[in-house]
Amino acid sequence: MSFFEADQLSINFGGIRAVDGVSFDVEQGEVFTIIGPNGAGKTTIFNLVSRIYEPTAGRLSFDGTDITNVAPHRIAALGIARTFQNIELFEHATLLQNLLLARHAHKKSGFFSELLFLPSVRRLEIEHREAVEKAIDFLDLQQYRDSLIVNLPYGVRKVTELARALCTDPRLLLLDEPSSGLNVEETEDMAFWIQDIRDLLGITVLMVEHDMSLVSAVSDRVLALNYGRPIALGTPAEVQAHPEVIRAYLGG
Amino acid sequence: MRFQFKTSYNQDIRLFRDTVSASWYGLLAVAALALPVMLSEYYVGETTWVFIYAIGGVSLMVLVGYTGLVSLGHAAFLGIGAYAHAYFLQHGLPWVVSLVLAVLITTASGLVVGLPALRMTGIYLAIATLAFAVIIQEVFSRWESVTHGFAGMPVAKPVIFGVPFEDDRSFYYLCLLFLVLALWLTRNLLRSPTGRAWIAIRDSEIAAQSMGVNLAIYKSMAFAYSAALMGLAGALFAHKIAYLAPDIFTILLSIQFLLLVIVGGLGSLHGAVFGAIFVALLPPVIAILRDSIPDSMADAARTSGIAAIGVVGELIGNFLKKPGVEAGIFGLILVLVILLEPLGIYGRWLKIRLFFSTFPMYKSATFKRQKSYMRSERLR
Repeated sequence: MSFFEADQLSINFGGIRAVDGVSFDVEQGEVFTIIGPNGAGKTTIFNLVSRIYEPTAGRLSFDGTDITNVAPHRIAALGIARTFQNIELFEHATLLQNLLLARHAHKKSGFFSELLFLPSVRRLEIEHREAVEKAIDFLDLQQYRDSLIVNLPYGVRKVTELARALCTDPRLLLLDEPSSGLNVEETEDMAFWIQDIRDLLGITVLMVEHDMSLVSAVSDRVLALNYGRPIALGTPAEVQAHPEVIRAYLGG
Repeated sequence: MRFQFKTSYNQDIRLFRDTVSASWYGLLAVAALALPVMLSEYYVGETTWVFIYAIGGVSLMVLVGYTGLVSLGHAAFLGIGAYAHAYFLQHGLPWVVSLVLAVLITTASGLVVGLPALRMTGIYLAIATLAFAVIIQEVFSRWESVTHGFAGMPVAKPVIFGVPFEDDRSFYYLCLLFLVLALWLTRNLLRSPTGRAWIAIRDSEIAAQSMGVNLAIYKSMAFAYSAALMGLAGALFAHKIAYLAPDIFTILLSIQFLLLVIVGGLGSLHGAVFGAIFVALLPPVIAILRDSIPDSMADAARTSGIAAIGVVGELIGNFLKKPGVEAGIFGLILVLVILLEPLGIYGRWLKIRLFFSTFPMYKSATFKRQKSYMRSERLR
């Protein structure tokens, strides 16, 4: 059984079949990318995996457990973290607070001990902080620790979202267009980080991406979608050369 | 300009940022303790109002400023706390027991109101809480066996473990104690995971959920905690006002609390206190101006010989005596604050502080926020 599996996943919005019987499986330790033209259903699949949308049909399983009916807030504790296409940071909080919130799935302190801020809460807070600092060091965010997100430039916010996802200690990381809005240099950095996340941290990556240079650089396998249906699956080179994919992007 | 060097993670979770700020708060505490000795009974009473309003302000700040849930019904929680406390005292319960019960009842009612909040946001939630406040006010006037309806309900002076708090000065210290307690507990929550979860819900529900925050639980918790603090404020309010009647806990009072947190500065506990000073002291200031402006301007007219000054003074005095002027001034200030200083008094305070700490290098652009249109509204 694969690490992560989507089986005949479908969702309807009214009369529109946004995702139509998509099946794929992700092996542990691989970078799996979903590509496709606008409206192909890529982000919808992410929202299905992170349980924000309820699938009309199909099953999702992660590491041997069925997660089709798991509540959305339980997903992080299972080890699945995500970033968002249109950055969803906590804008009026500092970068540090944003990352600390990502430790929420590992929260052990109770309400009343927090109310009195008992020594145990302080100890746990410092443990969380140590975990957060690892992500800060990994992604070079030291200088922005105490800045409010609203005051940070777009590129840094994008990295902050990646850091926030890492702070949940995920085993599967969902990256929704990690390079959108980044310049060439930042995109190259992103490619290195994604490789490091897989190789050094051992995290499996499921990614939606448009930038084919990034896709080719980091992906082990690529799934191409069009109108919610899978049209090709294989290595980046195979998918890029696939006639269906070329037709989906260029018409004809 | 002072630079803070951080050498341990503890520095970021301490109650006070550093010894300098801790000593400022110490000075403030000394001033608050010394105040009743220096002021007349009347001003001590007015300052007590500031404390009670500030507890209510902290309550609403948790909900509106930190969790992002708007409530137009907080006067109802204040009323529930006040009536419950008065009722239990009347039935001979010890003060502390009565207070705890009143807070628990208000907490429970907060949970009940919190339930629809799980499905509503923004203006819809405001309307739902408004409806709740109207219902509760009706209950206050109709449930005569408990509240005595419009006949009113006298509230005894507090006697705690046999120690009476009869005069305004001792009651001042009691309220100060509870305000400090409320601020301390709330600050503790805000620097631990619960407070962060609230802030996360305010800024992005969908991201909070994906990071493991159970929206239903944390929203209910915010409502319950906010209601509990409001119940505490209500109990003190009951003693302060000494006689409860249903027409005290109107929508106007709820709006006054909302005004308090907005004028004070959303998203800061300082703001709750600043806002309370503003809301509690504006009516007495208007009352003082009402009498002093015509008098002083009449004097000026006599000494200068220009009769027009006296006429203008008379007009201002008459205007301030008109019914509804107070509400009008409150409304005007609310509009001006939202337009000119969205961060409220606390925001202004930050700017002044930065001006002095960076003098003469202050740049007014420091606080300019660039507009961003990036966040997706699709998933709301």
